[in-house]
Amino acid sequence: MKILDCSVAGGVATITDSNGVEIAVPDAVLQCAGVFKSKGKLIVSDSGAVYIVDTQPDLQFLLDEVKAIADQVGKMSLIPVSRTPDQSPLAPDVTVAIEVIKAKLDAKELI
Amino acid sequence: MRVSADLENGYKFNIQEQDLAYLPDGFKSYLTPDAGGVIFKSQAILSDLLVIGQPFCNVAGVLIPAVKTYTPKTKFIGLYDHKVTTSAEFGSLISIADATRPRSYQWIKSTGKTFYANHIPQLFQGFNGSIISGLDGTFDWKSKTFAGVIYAGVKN
Repeated sequence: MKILDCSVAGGVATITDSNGVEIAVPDAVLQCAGVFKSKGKLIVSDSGAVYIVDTQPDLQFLLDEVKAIADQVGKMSLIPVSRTPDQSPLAPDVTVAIEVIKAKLDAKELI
Repeated sequence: MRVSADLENGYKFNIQEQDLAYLPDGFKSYLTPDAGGVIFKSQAILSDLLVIGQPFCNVAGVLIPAVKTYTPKTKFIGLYDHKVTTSAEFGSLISIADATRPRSYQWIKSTGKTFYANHIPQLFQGFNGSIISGLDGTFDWKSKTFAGVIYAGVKN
């Protein structure tokens, strides 16, 4: 078994040989969507090759997105809206709850 | 010369001092050191990492591309996965089809206890209704005679 540095772009894994030449590994099984460029490790065994993405950059991106949504919801909770039977009012303590979630995300307590 | 072979690791030889006077230089040039003896160079030079589509060996002038990306359990098994093996006669890489082809000038006899042959028995060659799956014995370069055991079996 070998573990190699690997990158993925356009759904295709690529490794670099000892001469610095890039070699495509189209039959590597990607353990990620492979839509965006990513770096990770290619695990090659006697049965095949599996690409494991380095999830830390993705996770940071995800955290930032969730926090941005939390900010938006927090702001909405402060805006007086006309309540109609079709709309559920936000709970009164939503602003506080969102601040708590954001604080936990910041501290990465939810990972 | 001590010779052993199986379908996982291929051929392994142990050359004794008394062989050196008769061992052809050609055959010696096919060999390279390995743990516990010498093996065929043609097998040893294979990479232990094969990448799909990348040529990894040359059989009679034809480059063979890897059928998948993997690290074969052994180099000999990696060759077999691509229908290639080593020739016991020439030390080169040949197709399995070529290895199984009987040669009219070769014979194997048995006394009931010991097998004798006028060549180093070729793995995968037809034998007793099956194929040669392993051997262990000696090859006397002076008389060019193999004496030992030959196993018949199938590839797992």
